[in-house]
Amino acid sequence: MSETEEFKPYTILPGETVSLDKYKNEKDVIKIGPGLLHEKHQISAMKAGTLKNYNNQKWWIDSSQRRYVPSLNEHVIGKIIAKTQDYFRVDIGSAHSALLSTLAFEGATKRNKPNLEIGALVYARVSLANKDMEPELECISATTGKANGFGELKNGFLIKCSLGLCRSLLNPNTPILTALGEHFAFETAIGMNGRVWLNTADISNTILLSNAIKNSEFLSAKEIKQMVKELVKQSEDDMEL
Amino acid sequence: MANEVLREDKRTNSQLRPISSVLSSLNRADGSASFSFGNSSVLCSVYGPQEVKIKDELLDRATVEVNITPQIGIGSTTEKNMERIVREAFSDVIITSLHPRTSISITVQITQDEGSIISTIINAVSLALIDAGIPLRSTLLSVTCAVQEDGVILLDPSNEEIKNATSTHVFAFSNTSNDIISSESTGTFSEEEYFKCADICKLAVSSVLKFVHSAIEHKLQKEQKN
Amino acid sequence: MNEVSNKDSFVLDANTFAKLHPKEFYRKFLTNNIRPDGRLLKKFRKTSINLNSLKSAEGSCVLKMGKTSVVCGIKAEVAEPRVDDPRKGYIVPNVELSPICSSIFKPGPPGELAQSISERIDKLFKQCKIIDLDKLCISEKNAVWVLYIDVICLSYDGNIFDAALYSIISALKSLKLPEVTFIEEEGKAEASKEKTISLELLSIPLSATYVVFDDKYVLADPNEEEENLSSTSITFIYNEEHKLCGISKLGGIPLSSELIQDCMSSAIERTDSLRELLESTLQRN
Repeated sequence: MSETEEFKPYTILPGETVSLDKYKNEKDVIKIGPGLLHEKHQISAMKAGTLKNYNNQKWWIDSSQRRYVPSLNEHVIGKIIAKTQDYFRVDIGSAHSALLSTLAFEGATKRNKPNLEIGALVYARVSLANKDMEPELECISATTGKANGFGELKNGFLIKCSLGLCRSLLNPNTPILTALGEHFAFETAIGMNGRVWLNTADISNTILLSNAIKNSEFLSAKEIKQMVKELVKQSEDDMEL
Repeated sequence: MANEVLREDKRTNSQLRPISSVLSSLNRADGSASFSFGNSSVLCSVYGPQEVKIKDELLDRATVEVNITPQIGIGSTTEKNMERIVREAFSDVIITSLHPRTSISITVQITQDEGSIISTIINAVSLALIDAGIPLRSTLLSVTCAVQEDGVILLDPSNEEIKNATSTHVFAFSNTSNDIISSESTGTFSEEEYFKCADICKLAVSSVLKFVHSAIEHKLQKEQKN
Repeated sequence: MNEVSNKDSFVLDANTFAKLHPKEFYRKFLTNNIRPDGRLLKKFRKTSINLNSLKSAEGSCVLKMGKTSVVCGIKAEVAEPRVDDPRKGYIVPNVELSPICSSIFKPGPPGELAQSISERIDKLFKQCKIIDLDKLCISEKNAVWVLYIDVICLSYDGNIFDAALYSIISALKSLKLPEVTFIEEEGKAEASKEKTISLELLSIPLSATYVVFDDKYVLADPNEEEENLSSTSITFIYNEEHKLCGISKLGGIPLSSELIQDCMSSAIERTDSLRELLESTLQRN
């Protein structure tokens, strides 16, 4: 019936054109995602990475970078840098700081506003991301209006990492988190803006875990297990001292 | 290229020096790359899109800044001229309209200048921009050639070869067009020599592109080991 | 959105339209093969030079290229030669773009454009034999002529490189140096009262600049507005033997070899006519 070819992901450089005709039927609708540019009747790559697709319908380029560019509905971790009557100014690592309305919290009213200090960390959702405007955040879920995990992150420790590492950490079965979970009890919040927040009962453990996560970016699953084993042993040795 | 000549460093006139590059070597920059043609090497860092000073702010696109520091001493008019050449060359490559009111800051440190330095810089900048994930319309690469007194064209000349040449030509090509993107030629030359050099450089740029492709592939394989 | 429409309901006058949609404004002219300032696409602006108007300088030239006007002054000084070549004199070119010529330049140290042009001119003199630097030597290792060449832009309306180079070459042609003898015993140089020696130029390289608008229209000698609206510019430097002394293509849009060759023949014509103008001006003086 269909004469579509089997697609194999490959490395692509900026400027290279992508011809998707042989992977789809005539009437199929194709969605192009991150890293692809549709200009002058051609689809070409804007970034270097691996060209991937989902069901031959959704196409994107898998690439990693350090600098965050806000995108709608992503969950990010931000730091409050200023506050006024109506909104907080939050640094999320993008070119422009984001605005978080004081009413965008569960149960917030004009009389009952959240009391966040400058320097506090928040876990929020990007509600407005437009290249010409400052990004905006909300600490409530888009559909239910409840907090759903958003809001202030108390205590703990914040680390900065690449966007690619954060994306892989979102998978709860990712090797590093499962390996650490076998030995430590901790809670974590992953921001798509290259920030990870960690909290355990003991500060030394918190530091140990954050270093482990930072180092795990380029290691294979086996190497990760090895590294975690060594860290656990080291911390047990330290405790005996 | 009918007459193949042997040069000081045992290369033929149509051979590039060994190319090498390292990506993401600087861990604070959003993107970084070093690039070398033989002993000419350059390190480049890219920051952006980041906050921009109000006086440099452009409402509909990103402001691109280029800073080049020489191997020894502080920059002079020579470096300012190279900054202008690099900024103009990348003016249509970086898709600045995607990041209005931000700045993309490119800093280049010449670690060793052994000839063809502008081409080395352009290639390092391209790789650093790719490493930073800045949206680009194309991959821009450059190669230099020099014309000797006897008319022989030397590809990727050293400083000594440039000193003795009657003209030196820097060309930059992108992987989206067959035509010249950037061109800087000095010395005394004929129109014929100019176009011949352009053709030779165009061919050489496609080999540099192959190298860049494999360097990026290698980096991606490392990243996706997980 | 808003356009000069044929309906009576909404019509913009030409000036407002030019401000709101500068590119569209230009397109309407270019499709009819003419530019808003009345020139044909390959036509250069009226150029005039006035030599030796600055009495304090050894050589000078006031140049007008349309509304772009520059003044070039050459001061000659006797100095010790540079260490790397004790038998040659040297030149120090410097181009200044200050707020006096346009509000786009800020006060303070020279900006990127001025430094870039100074560097290109310095490179041109270093790589193409224009001045016989040996002739600037007064006494080997002791005294040589140093020519400080300053180009000051008085009014900026685009194409500053062509204007700067032409003014420098013209000022050099009009240069008159006094005869100098170096007295070994006293260690100083003595100049005669009369300025009689002129500098012979080995070659006369001049330039022609073009910009490309909308990827297809090639405009010669751009004014400031055309420079801002175009996507790339290319400058050719030709000498009197029709050999190239430099090509500089700045900007991101690719140019085909056919387009470049087309500009080359126009550039040869232009630089020849500039040399004729210089010759006739010198003869009149």
